[in-house]
Amino acid sequence: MNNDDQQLVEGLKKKDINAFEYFFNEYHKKIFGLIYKLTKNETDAQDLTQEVFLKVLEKVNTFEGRSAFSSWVYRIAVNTAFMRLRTKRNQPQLSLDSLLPQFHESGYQKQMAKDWSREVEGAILNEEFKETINAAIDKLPEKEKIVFILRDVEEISTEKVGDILGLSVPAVKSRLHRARLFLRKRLSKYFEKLQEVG
Amino acid sequence: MVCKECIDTLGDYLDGSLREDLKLELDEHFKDCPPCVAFFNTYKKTTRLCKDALTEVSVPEEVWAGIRSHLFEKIRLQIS
Repeated sequence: MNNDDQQLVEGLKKKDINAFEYFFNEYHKKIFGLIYKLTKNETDAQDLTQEVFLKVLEKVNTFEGRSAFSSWVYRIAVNTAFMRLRTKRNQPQLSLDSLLPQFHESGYQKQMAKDWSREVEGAILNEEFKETINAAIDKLPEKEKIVFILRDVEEISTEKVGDILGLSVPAVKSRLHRARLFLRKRLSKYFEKLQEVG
Repeated sequence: MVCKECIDTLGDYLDGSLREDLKLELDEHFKDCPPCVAFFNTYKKTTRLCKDALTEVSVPEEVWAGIRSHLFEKIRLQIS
């Protein structure tokens, strides 16, 4: 743990209002941004952000410094968001396996991939396409979704994502890869449909 | 290298952590396999599109001020 974090943690443990002020200013937008991406609901994200701050203050005495303080805070934010999502979820989680690439016994692709990457080169994302992408991300199982958002959207390093989620680097990479494969498949279907219509 | 091995290594290839010998094998595979090149291009593009589609929401400063004062009130009560 670096000196700034150590000082901050000590201040929070002593319930120093200045330390809390600093903590709030440093983290509120980051926590809100992450929770909003998970819940897609602004009011929930505001409520849960407050909940995270109160939980951190309540639990800071149990923080032992085995991970970076920011990783510990993110972990609390992720768990808080998922607790809320689990109580609200009304659709079954998808199994990714059916949407992962299929191969012949020889190891070659069963379905030849089409390259739609240039069709969207430089294009501004329209609302329909954004909705398609958001719906696809929502369909990801929890384990893959959080890794994808932390690593590819928030651009947090693989090692730190592992630290936040208590996963090894290979486990983070494996979940990230599965998430990308699933999302790629969904976007491919979208472009195939567009081509059929157009 | 066959397509399955190629696709299994795309994550490491994309973030630059793929072992040098595997990277050479992958580059060789790409020369002879246009479907895997297409797969890689769309895999890479997927990440960028998803990041762009997840728009940030900007909460007005006055809302944060309200949240902040509500939180600090609770904390003061806890301290006292």
